[in-house]
Amino acid sequence: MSTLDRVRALDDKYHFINTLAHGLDTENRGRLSGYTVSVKDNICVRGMESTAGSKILEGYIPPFDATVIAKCRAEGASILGKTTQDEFGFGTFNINTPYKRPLNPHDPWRSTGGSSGGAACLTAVADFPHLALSESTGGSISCPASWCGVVGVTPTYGRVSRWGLIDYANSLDKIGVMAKTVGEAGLLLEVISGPDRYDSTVLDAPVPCYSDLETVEGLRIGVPEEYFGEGVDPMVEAKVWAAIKGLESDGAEVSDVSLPHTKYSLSSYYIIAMAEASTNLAKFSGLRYGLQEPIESDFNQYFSRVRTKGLGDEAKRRVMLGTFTRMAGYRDAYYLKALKVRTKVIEDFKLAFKGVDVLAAPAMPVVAPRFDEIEQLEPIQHYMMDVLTVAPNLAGIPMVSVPCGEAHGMPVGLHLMADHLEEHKLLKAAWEVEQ
Amino acid sequence: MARIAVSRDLVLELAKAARLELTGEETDRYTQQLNVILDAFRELDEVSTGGVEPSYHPIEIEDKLREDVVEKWQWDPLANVVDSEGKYIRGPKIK
Amino acid sequence: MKATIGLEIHVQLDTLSKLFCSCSTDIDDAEPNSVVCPICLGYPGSKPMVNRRALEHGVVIAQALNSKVMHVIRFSRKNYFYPDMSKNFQITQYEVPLAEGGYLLVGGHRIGITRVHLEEDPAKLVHVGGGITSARETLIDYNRAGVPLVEIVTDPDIGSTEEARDFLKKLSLILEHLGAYDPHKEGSLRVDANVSVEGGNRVEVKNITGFRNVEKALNYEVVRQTSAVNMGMLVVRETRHFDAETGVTSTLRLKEQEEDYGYIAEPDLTQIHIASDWVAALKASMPELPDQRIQRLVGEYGITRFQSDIIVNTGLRMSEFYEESCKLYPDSKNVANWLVTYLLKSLNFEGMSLEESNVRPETFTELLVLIDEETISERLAKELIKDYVKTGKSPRTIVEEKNLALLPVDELRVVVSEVVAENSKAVEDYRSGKAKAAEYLIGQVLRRVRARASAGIVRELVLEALKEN
Repeated sequence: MSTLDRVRALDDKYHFINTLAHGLDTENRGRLSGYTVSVKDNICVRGMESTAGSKILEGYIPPFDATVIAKCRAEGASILGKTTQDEFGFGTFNINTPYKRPLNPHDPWRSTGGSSGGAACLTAVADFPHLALSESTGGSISCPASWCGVVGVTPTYGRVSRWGLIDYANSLDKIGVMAKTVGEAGLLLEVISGPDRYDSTVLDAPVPCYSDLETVEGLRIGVPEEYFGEGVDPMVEAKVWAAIKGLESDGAEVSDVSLPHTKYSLSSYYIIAMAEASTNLAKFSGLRYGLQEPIESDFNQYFSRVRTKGLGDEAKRRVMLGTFTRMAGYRDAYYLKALKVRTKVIEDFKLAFKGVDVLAAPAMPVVAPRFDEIEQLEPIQHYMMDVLTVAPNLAGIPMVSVPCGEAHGMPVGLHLMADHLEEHKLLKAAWEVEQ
Repeated sequence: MARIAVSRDLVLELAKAARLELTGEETDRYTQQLNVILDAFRELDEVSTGGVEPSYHPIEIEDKLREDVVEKWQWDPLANVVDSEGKYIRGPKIK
Repeated sequence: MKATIGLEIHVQLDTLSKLFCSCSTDIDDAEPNSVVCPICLGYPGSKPMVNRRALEHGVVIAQALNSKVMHVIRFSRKNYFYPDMSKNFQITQYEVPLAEGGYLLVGGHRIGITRVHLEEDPAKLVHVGGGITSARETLIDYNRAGVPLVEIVTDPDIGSTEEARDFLKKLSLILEHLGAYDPHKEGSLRVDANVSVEGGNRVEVKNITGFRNVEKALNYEVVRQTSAVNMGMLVVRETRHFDAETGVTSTLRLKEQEEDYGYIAEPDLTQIHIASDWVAALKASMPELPDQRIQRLVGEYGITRFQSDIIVNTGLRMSEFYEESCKLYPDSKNVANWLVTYLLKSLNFEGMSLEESNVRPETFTELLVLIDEETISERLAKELIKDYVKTGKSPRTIVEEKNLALLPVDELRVVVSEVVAENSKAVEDYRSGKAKAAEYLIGQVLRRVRARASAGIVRELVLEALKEN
């Protein structure tokens, strides 16, 4: 059975692919030679439909490759297809999309997590060489990675070029990777990282070797108290602690730290993310590309008609909220205030990293919920599910979710976080956990 | 920040600003949801941020400038356009 | 006409590439939507990159306007929906402009500058089947989208429509001297004007192209507002549009309906540090400004202030033309004289700018040489220059083709003899003491030779002839 047939068979069962490649290149050479790479649907691949999980981009064929795609191709990877996601990244369960809703491979009645649900799902079930390109704004890599039991790496903001990434929130979006093993994740991360003249927010810092993973002896691990206790499932916490203890017995030093502004990071994150997102989505108005309607009526009516038809419920909510936070009269109290709180959140992390190398916590407060449970939730409760991932995402620090056991029969992810550009410390700790 | 009671009128104003048409039911539902969400955001009032600089990016990024050199893209800008007239893109009228 | 006026001037910068992408700015003869890329077309996943040269221009312009350049600048998103916006937001500068403050002296009056900043130009709209408010559809050409603009905002210090016109002329000349913009490029200067008269509200007139239209629009507006106030009617606070064809302003939208732009910092761009030594270096290498040039020409070429003023204020090319001509022909005062009094007059008569004509320093100075050589008379030169301006042919060529060279004295004598022979009455009158009769004869000779003789020589010959008989 060919790889593509295998993918189709798996997709029939788990629904993770929006667009499949017509054929795979097998003769390529490079560091990724032999690997298929799946791509989250908000990362542009030339000639392949890229919807970002939205109806408003149905049928949209990008005329260019994202930088990360070009880099993968140059290293011999074969682009497998586009994985499903929450619309524009707006979601934690991968249910906010008119396209496929992926099923958790460990229990098909449960969510894969989001917004990169398709990527995590495929990574978990692929029984052929596969790596996933994914993306995180507030936790969209860590969440599904932890709920599907795979490795998810969210690099430092600016580590990887965003040229070709369909924006959710430009100061928060990071392209990252998912894989079955830490080593493979590090390999893909190495390939996609580095400067790019097409993205002004990329860092000039050189890319170290991420596959060079040594011992954790002497690694100082900080455990932030705000990430445990109330609101976190005790069985999830237990698995996480077990993993931390395991690292300690391997030679790591464990200590307690505090990140006092943790509770405010949710509001700060959502305000900034929605403010930026609401401006990013303005371009989708039925001209130049994407969903277009017959040109009748005046431009305001036309734009409204297209956007009302093409944008989903959550997208509309976030666009309106984002518009509000930017409005004259509210802008200081919301948008500017959130940016200042962000500074405080970053300061918390910087202070903590003076004394430790990595932080360790649960990636998500619970295991993957059931779809019927999710249906009962109000939007605010969806947002609160991100409570453990938004702070590091807001601070732009790198993080890894690595499987550390099961609770209630579902995977649990250990979340490791490090200071800006310290991915190598994360990866070696994650690798150790993996052993 | 002042207590914002998100009124139905404000929601309609936001929808208009964002070029979205809402049904009556949607307007009611969004009004209720936005109230809850924006109320939750009020917790930021508790954080003292006097003298704190806003972080537009989470990390210091080096200044980036591009040299004034012309490069031509080889592509068809009209490939994704449904309604064009000659080389123009057709759009809706102004008024 | 008296009024309180503030201007927002948008100038297209003369860079090679656009502000945020590498597309060319040379779009005048391009097919619609042919000078575009995913960035200026607002494709999802595309990101802007700031053009260094545009920033340089901005800094130099700010300095020429005595404005304070900021140390750290940032770009902003100005959000509004319109068919000419590729992203439905414009990348501009809201919170931290490139420069703040400044002034320009216009006729001794200090016009304050509020700010100077950079932003991108939107696309061009073609309204099909009517004007902006009556068209049935719009055709969009994104070639212009992303062209760099510098926006200069004045304080409401301008007190009349004439002053507004003078301000714009001076600003345009300065920008031309800086090499920052091309005044001959269509649409390279656009103005939004805020106008009010005593007793009335402030009205904004948007998107007026070129300063002739600005003067017309302002005149119309001031008259409209003044009449309203005089009749006890309300001048509504609103935004109006100026129709260049009809010369009339009309309501575009009421201020109450004004959009909230919901500004955020542009998150795809970093802040930019403008080092003070870079600013100083740019100032040091700043091209000569109009006022400096006017003074220098007076000192260097010994011409009058009046002449220098005209030469410089006509445009950059004219002062360059003058100096190039002085390199070829040593009498700079003579050059100035002929340029200001006769060349300019002929250009105006033909409705041509210097750039549009085929006039060149080499051929212009040739005219002066022909006079010096006595190949033609000054009087003939004044006629010939019209032909020269119109056709661009070298004066020597025109003289040859039209057989205009001064007649040799022998040939002249023949004509004089003929005229004397034909006008015996005049000769008699002269003999009987009427000196004016000689003038008559001289005039007749000159008419006959059609200025191919200098009046002085003809006079000599006529008097000689009269003596002989």
